[in-house]
Amino acid sequence: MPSSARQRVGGESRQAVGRARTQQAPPSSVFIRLLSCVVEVASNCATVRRIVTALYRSAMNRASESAVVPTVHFAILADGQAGAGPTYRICGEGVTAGPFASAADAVVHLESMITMAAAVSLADHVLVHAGVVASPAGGIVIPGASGAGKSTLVAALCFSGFRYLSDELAVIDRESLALHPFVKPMCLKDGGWSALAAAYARPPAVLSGTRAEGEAVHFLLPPKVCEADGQTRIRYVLRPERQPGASARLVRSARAQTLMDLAQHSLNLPRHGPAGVDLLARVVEGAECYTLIYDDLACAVATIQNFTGA
Amino acid sequence: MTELKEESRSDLSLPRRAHHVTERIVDGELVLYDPRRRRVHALNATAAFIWQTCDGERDQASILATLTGRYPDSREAIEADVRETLALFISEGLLASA
Repeated sequence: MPSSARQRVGGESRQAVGRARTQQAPPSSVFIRLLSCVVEVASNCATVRRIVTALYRSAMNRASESAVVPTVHFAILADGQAGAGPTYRICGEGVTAGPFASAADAVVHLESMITMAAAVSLADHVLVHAGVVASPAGGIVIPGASGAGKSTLVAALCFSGFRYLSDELAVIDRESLALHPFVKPMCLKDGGWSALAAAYARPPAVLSGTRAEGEAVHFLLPPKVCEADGQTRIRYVLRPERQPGASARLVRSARAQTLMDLAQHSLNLPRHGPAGVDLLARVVEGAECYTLIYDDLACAVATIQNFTGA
Repeated sequence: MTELKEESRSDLSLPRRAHHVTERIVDGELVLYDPRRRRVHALNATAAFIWQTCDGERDQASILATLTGRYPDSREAIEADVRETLALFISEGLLASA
C-alpha cells in the first residue's frame, strides 16, 4: 500500500513525500470518500493519519467497502527540526499551505481544502451552500451564508434525531432533484459550540483547532448519517434568521424568493445556466418553503420537530 | 463585444427585453435569470407586467398608458413605478438597446 500510494500522489506532493521519506517514517495514506470523490491523504506522521481517520470515520468506512481510485490527492508532511517540535505542511491539488505548528491545525486547514476539492469534483450536480438534514417526512435544506448559524442548527437537529447529510453543501441531483449526502465532519465555531453545549449533551469534539485566520473551530461526528448511496427528496427549505429575543416560529416564504435564496447561495449555478435555475425552481415548487425565525436553539429545533413530525 | 455595446446603449425610448435573459414562472411569480451577471430576479406583479410590455415597440408613454388603462385611479403612482422599474431593468442589464 505505501509504495503504490506514493506513486498515486501527484505533482509537488510527490516530491515533498520523497524528501519527507528521508527525514521521517515513510508516508502512508488514508482514503476518504465523499460521494464520487475519493480523496487520498498521505502523511508520514501517524498522529496526522489518526486524526484524519477519526474525523472522517463515516467516509472512511465507505471508501473501504469497494475498490477505490482516488481522484484528489493531498499530503500532510511533518518536518522534524533538531531541538524543536515538528511543523506540518500541506500540499496537493496545486496548492501548498503551512507550516502549521500542530497536527490539529494542519488537519483543520486540510478539512477546508478537502471540502473545496470535493465540491469541484461534484460540479455536475447543482451545489448550494446549505446545511442539510433528513426528517421522516423528507430532506430539509437550510441555505445561508457563513456565520448564519447553519452548522449549529444542523448539529442541534442531528442530536435531536434528524439524520445528517451535510452542514456545508446541498448536493442536488440534476435528474431526480434529490439530495446526495455530503458527509463531511460537522464544523462549529466557538459561538455555535457553546450554544450547542448549553442546549444538548453533546459529545467531546473529535478535533479542535484554529483556522489560518485565527478562528477556533470544533469538529463533531453526527450520531446518525444518511446512507452513502441514498437519495433524499427535498421536502422543506428553511432559511434561518436569528432575531434576538424572538420566539421560534416558521413564516411561509414565497417560492420565488426561496429560489432567489438558493440561487444566491449556489456554488455553481453559472455552470448550469438556465437549466440550473429551472432545477432550483422545480425544487422549490415541490417543497414547502419557510423562514425560521428564532433566538433560542432548542426552541428552534422543537419548532422544526413539531412541524415535520420528527 | 456587440452584446456589451447593446447593453451600454440601453435607454428608455423603446425598451426591449434582452434576449440573453431567461424567464421562469414560479408559483405565479416571474423570475428572471441573467447568465451574464449571474443574477436571479424575482419580479412583483407590477414589475412583471412592465417587463412583459418591454417588447421594443412601445415607448415609456405607451407602457404607462397600458398600465393606467388597467388601474385608472393610480396614475401618479404608476408613473413613478414605470419610471423606476425601467431604470432598474436598465441598471441590472436586463434590457437591450432600442
